[in-house]
Amino acid sequence: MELITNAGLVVKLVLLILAYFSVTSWAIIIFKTLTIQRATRDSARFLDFFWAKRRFDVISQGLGDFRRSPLTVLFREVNHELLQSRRAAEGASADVLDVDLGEQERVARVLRRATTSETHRLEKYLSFLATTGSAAPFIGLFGTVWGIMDAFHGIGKSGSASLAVVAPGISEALVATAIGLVAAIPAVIAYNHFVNKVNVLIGEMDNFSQEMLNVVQRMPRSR
Amino acid sequence: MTAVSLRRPPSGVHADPLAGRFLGAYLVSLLLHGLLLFGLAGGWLRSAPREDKPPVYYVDLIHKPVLNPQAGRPEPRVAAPVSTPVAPVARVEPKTVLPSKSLPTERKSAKVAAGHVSNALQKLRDEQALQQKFAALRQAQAVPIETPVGLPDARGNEAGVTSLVYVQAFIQQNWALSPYLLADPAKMARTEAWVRITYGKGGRLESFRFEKESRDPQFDESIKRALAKSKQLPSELPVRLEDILVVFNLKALAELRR
Repeated sequence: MELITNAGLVVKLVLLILAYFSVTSWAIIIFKTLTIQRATRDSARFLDFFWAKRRFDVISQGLGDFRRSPLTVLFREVNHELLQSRRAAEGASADVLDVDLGEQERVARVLRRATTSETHRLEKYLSFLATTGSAAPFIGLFGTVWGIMDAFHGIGKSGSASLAVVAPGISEALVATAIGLVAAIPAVIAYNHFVNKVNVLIGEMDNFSQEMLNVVQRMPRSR
Repeated sequence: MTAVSLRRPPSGVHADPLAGRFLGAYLVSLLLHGLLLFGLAGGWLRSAPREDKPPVYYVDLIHKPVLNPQAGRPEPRVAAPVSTPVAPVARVEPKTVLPSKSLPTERKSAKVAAGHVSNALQKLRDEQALQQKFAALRQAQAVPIETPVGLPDARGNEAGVTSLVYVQAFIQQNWALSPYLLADPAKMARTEAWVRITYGKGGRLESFRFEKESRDPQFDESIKRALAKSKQLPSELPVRLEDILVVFNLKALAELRR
């Protein structure tokens, strides 16, 4: 503790910035662990539910149980789009084939948009972890360099180069690098872990999109 | 112009069901950091104080322990006290003054004068004694004492030096070894050899044999060289020393070189 309290103003400022990085990155780690864990669990449960029920109206009624899954968002969007298309088709006098092709295109677009949107949601805050992992050691290093400069300046003023004069200043300066690494290491590990998990979920969304398009294509037309 | 009805995509796409919980995660993180800081300040994470290593005692093969180390180097024995001729002081008999009844102050002044004379005599005797002591010290300083305390001619109040210690000290003085061997502390700790030596009464080395070799040929050779140099002691021994054990170790040699 004395190492921090005895440090210079710049080193203290650096330590404050690093503390902010560390607190925020750990908040993100906790938050993302919960989010991704629940998303993975709800997605698996939703897929079971989806293939068991098969009827869109029944499935849409049970979506509330799988709110954390990105797949439910995809399904809700497709269902909504299909309902809109059917309503529009009932009032129009276009050719059945044209309507059918247009509907598939629209469903594909909706799925792409929903997948992108859900990917952004899942990847939210991960960039902060990446920034912490790459920048925190450098910020700490800056604090150390500044602290050592300060220490050497003090040595020059005192005119003594004994270990008792040199060591405290350098050890105070090195605290900044240590805290920088303490902030960066968990952030890097968590970032790699979450990116891997998000990629798995994105893969699931792509697979589900393909399946949905197939289902929509096989749907019996009302007219 | 045809009117187009625009519909904003359902908010479910953008809404994060756990977004509100990020603040909670932030508070948990703050709490964790606070606990860590508290732990650091309170000394939870500090390492336990290291136990001091047990003290290592070195046995000095050369110097025998003196009876009273605090006494320092005692005064040297002086062969004959130097008698400085001091002029005999003539004893001055105080004049006896008859007291007069009429004058009590005169009696008093006579007593004071007698006291002064006796004081002066005492002072003179003390000075003579001091001069004798100084003369003895000057004589002692004139002869430099090279021998360490505990050995013959050290003139200390040591317990006494046996012939065995004398021989050991002499051999060790002739013992030399490479400083590189001494620089290795690990080697210094384990290298040791025991030699049985026989000296005749005339101070001549009669025989020696290794009772325990050091397993370091360089070390053993150095011992043999030391024995070859010590084949004749500078002075005769009071008794014949037969099969005396001399332990050679690097620690002792390092102490000797220090």
